[in-house]
Amino acid sequence: MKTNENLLEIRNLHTYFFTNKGTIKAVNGVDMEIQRGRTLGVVGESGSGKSITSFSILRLIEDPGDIVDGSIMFDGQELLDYTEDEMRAIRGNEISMIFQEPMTSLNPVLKIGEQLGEPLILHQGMDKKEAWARSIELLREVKIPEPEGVVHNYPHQLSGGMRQRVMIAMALACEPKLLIADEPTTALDVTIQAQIFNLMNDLKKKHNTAILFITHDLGAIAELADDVVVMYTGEAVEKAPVEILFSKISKFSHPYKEGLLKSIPKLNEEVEYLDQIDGSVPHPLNLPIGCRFAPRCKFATQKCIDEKPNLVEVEPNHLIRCFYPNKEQRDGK
Amino acid sequence: MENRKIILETKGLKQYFPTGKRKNGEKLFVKANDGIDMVLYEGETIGIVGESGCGKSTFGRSLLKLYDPTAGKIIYDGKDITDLSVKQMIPLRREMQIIFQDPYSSLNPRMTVGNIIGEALVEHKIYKAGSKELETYVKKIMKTCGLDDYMIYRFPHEFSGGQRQRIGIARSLALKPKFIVCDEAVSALDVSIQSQVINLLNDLKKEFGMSYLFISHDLSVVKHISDRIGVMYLGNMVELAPKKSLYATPQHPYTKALLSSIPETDLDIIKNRKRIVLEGDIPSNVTPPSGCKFHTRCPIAKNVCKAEVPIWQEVSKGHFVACHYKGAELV
Repeated sequence: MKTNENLLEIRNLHTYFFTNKGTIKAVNGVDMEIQRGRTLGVVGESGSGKSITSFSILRLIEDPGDIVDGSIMFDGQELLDYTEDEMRAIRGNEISMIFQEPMTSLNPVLKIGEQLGEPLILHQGMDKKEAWARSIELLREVKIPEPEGVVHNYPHQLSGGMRQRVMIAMALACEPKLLIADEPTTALDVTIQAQIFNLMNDLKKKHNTAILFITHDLGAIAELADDVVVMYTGEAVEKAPVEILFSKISKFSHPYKEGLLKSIPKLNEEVEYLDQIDGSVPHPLNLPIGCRFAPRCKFATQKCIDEKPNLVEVEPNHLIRCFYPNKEQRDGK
Repeated sequence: MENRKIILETKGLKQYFPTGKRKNGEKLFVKANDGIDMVLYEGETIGIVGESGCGKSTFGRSLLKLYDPTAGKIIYDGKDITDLSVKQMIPLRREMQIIFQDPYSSLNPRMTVGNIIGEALVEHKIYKAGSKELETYVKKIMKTCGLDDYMIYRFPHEFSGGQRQRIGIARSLALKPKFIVCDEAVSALDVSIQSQVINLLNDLKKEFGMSYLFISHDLSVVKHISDRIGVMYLGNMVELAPKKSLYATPQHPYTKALLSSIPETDLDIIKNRKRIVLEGDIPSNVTPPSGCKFHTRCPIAKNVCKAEVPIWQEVSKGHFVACHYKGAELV
């Protein structure tokens, strides 16, 4: 993995929120990288900092939050040094984003064609007519039937799946180098989710776009991602290519990911009891001193409670933040 | 299975909601449930799956008589409850409960947990408000649901999503119901919390012998928790079968498509499966398609599907399906 191949390189990112009750370290020293034409999946539960990471990339952190440390290199440029105006030229142009709830992220009083045309007029200097024509093409590309009609519609006239396609079309309007998809299918039915996944994969292949895919669903990760970062309380706890992360052969695994995997009911097996991770994600103002996962971990020792493990490469391309990353040795304890 | 006691039965249950008129004066209806037959046995869990807008939540609520059914019958514990008034339903409400999807909006933010759980007990005059017995009982129920008893004086906003869902469950359970509708009861929870709540629901079922109607869009969760599973599409049940039979030999093309759309975490399965991706969206249930309602999205639809409504029939023991080409290969 040569560094110059990376389109996006996040190093040691710290995004904090300074509240009256204390400092919330929403993202606390995260490293990640995405290569062109690949999908990086970021998976974690609520409060793991996965969305804040993506907002940090676009520099969309609002008060009382701040990016306090780290570096975000995009296409060889340091985004954290950019002025607000320079960032505005990047957003929706070189980096674009699709959100979870397509209804609230589309403007309800603008026609689909007008919304789609907006980034084209803004970033690509098209006039209204050109932008309108290009909008129809874009809708066709995301497989919306009868795009000539749909451009005249308002968002409420479309179904959830269609709206998410419009969002994707809008995100792709300026052929971004990086597409950030934050839980793009969480609000959709499985049948529609399958359509959107197919679409995202096709578009990635066609335009060589890099995708940062954020989700809480390990299944969606296995379907879509090439590389994966598992996050817990603002930190990466496991990083690997998807084949290694879900490998049945690999001896190494973080107990959190292992627990998540086991707590999902599987279609092809029958169990009386689901494995469960006890307790819940710790409060961000009251994080454990040692390993953040220790209070919920079946294998935690005194060392885990006292000391904080580092993210270590346990086998090629496989990084784990745990004192006992080896499944076999851990189960023996 | 036939010897078991039937707790709840629906016969041709229809639930329409008026939604304006055509220009010629013809009244329009959202046909949320369009003739559903189902039998639920005591101690059984039936899972109901389907896309949004298929009528699964309406079905759950109709069973509790939260709406007045348009047509058909609901028989609870041998008694026809279809035409009971709100007042007549009150004694039955003790036995029929619901757990809602959203643990944030379904708890009154101004009531303490103790009051939320105890309210129905007072309402049904089982315990006196403020009595020592009530508090003891509420604490006992809280413990069963994995809540510590010091939480009794706290307010909902002090709890996490998973804990709130436990409060919702404790509230339903307090009356020792015989039948609970779980309407997307775990869908809003994080994966690690979801499995805790599912295990809890299963434990409680064993302990108290309740029956569940478990409504969810998540087919893997439904498979885990249910004995039988019903698949709904546009207001109709299209397939109903014991879970093993449904997952091993699905008959309806819609069921097959749903099953193949579930995201997997096993990379070998992802590589080898033939995924059936349905085209388009679920049609409107004001003006549903003719014949088999699924024909507009069905990969194997023929002319007969557009013209004739398929019959609901039993293909193997306990396995019902409504399709003209049931069991046909799709790819």
